[in-house]
Amino acid sequence: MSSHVGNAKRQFVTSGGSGEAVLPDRRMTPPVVRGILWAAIAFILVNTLVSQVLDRQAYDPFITKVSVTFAWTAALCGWLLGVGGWEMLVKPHFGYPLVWRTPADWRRYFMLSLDHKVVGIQYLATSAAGLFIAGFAAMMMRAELMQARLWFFPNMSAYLSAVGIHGTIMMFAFGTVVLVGGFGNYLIPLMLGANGSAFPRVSAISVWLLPVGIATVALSPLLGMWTTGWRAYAPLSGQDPSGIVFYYLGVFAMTVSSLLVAVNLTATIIFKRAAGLTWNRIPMYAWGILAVSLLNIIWLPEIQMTFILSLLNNIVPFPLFSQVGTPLTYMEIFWLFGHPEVYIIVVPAFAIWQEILPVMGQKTLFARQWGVLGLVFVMLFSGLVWAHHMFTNMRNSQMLPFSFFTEMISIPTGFAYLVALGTMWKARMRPKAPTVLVLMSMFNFLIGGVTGVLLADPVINLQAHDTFFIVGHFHYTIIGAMLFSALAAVYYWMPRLCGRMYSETWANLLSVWVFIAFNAVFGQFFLLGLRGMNRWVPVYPAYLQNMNFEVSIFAFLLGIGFLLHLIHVVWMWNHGEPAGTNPWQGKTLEWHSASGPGQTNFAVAPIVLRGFYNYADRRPVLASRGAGEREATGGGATPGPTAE
Amino acid sequence: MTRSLAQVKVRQKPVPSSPAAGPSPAVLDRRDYAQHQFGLMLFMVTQGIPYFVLINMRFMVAGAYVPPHLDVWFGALLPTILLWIGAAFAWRGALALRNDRTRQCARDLARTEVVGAVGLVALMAPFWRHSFDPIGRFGTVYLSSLGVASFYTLVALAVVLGAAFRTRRGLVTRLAPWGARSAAAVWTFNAASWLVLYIVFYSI
Repeated sequence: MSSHVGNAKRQFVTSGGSGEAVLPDRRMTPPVVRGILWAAIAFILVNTLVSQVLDRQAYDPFITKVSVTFAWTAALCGWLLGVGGWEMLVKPHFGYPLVWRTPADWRRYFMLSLDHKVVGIQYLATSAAGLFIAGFAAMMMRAELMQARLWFFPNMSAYLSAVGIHGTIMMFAFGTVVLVGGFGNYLIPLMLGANGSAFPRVSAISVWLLPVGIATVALSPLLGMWTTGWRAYAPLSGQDPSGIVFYYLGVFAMTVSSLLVAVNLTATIIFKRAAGLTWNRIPMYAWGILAVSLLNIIWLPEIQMTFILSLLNNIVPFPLFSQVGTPLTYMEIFWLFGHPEVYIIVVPAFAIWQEILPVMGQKTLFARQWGVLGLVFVMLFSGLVWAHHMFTNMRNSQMLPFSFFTEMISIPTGFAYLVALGTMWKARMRPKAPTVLVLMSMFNFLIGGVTGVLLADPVINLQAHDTFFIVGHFHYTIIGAMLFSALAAVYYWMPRLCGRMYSETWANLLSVWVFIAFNAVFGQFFLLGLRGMNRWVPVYPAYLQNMNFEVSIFAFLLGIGFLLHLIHVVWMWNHGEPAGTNPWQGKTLEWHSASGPGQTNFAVAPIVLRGFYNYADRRPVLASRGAGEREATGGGATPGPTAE
Repeated sequence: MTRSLAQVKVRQKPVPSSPAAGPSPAVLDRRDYAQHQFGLMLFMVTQGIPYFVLINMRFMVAGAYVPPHLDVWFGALLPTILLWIGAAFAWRGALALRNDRTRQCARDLARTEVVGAVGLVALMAPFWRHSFDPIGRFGTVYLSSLGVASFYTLVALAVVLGAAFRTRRGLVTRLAPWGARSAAAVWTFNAASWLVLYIVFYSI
């Protein structure tokens, strides 16, 4: 059993894993409750002040676009201060001592925490909640599309709001977050041999922006429907009722969260590496997180500024992107971010393939340097392909360079593939759930990639534009690749996260379930698109109804499959068999520490002697600092065929 | 694994002070100092990107147009001068720590606050008093930029205020100068960003 499974549950720690000062208090209410209270009070006070005193409008509405913007900002501040920002950030900023109670039980997950493992789990749980909220919106969309007429939603705008909520939460609260904020926060310090992240207070506050963002977007219809989808195209967004204001505010909270994670993890990877952990040795997942963090650092502030300008269009109101500028201006600065966002989501998935496959095959990672180059060049090229989203708005001469680079990006992407294939070549892969899910992820990305190369061709792109062919393509690319990789990561690192093992039978069964359902849904999207099914419409030609009906049935099965995965993981988290400290015989450093949340990762700083991916080398990868030639054990790897 | 390493002596961070003992100056070793510097620099890079978007927007929607009766002082030269005077005070304060003059440092940071607060008012004045069309090609982008610059000035004021408080409480010292230096750096970033916007809107 992992050491942290057996901890006394009701203990109060005296030193957090990352050094937070703690005091015991058995009657303490989780600060989240205080955060909700402060947020509610701030919202009501500021909204009343703005709408009733400072900016009264005709007919005296209690909530206006202006008042709700200020009220939301005040509520956000109230929330962040309430969950612990007051004690952990504001008071120390002004020189008061940091006094923060950290109970060693479930309550630690409902407050600010300096422990990267707690933050990682907070991110994982919040982004999983985002997945299911977005999934519920998707189920409503599919219910609507079971019939060719409008029957489930009261009007077109309501349907489009569901589409927008689904896309926005999937992109900004799940796709961008789960593998970076979640697994990144939890695993990167461990993988680097560190006892914490570089800026734990930044990390602590960042996670609490995410639930605000999800709740804001999910509740946006309360202010009015919005029809733009996750892209929030202006000037269309300026014509929508107030719901779009909550879109901008929610996305702002979620992107700030991801931006802070990116800064923190980049500094962590550069400065917190253990002795001997050179750039040539750092884990593939750390490379993936570094690449994606640099993308986040460049592109998230860009889209934030764009959305702030669009928000000003709504609340001032400015005539930006209509009388001042053009709709094309908005599209250009949106897609400058929009396409790198795809790689922000999918690059960590590539890294997970390369992390899991050598361990599950106990075989040396094939062409590791090319794998790193693939991750880095995908990152670099991702900023050169964005205009293929706008081929319908461009001259032929403008299309060609973007078409060229879109096809070019398949080359570094291919590196990730070849590294994975080379690693599996003649390996005795263990048919465990992580392996199966990585293979499924690779298959899905292959379909997405091949159709992506097709869509890079302007001739096909112009024909398929805004049809379900596109929807199928990007679901295969980002969701099929990322979500299946995320599931693989959950099962692979579950023994590390909770010290318990999942049920292999159930995990494999459910994985096959969602794989079949996923392909039945999105595979048919291609056919629907080719037969003339357009995006953004709840009403469509009757001849498409039968296929849409059938797709919806598979979509419901897909949703149920993910729900069953969640139930399985939650159940096994508490009732699974004890897994031992290193059940997969992995060499990376997270398997060399059995610390749980609230515990120090490495009582003694490790020294890395060699890389983690050579399974032909049976020598240990760690040594003890100052211990002369005495070496620690190296992960218990069983040698496999060599490839390096 | 961890157990087998437990007997070996290593460089370890000091255990954080207990709450009862009160805070003590955060003395950073060279690596930690570099880490903090890098983190701050990275954060500034991220916050420079919105300015880059605004500069692009200025030329995309308004070209090089400058309204003929644009006020050259408010929302223009006056905040630029005041922000840079504030930066000079902030750096003088940070450098005073080298000679262990913490009171001088606190005083200079307080001066930065005062000058900066006046600068903020001068920066925001065109929201109420302007001679251009606020929803025209120039006006929209200019006022948006003023709003962004005002927000960052407010943030910089909060950062410097915190550093001044910590200096007065003896938490920023010759051996622990990061609080003052980082505050000066944040202030300088804000002043430089506004200077670039000023040049873009008034001179180019």
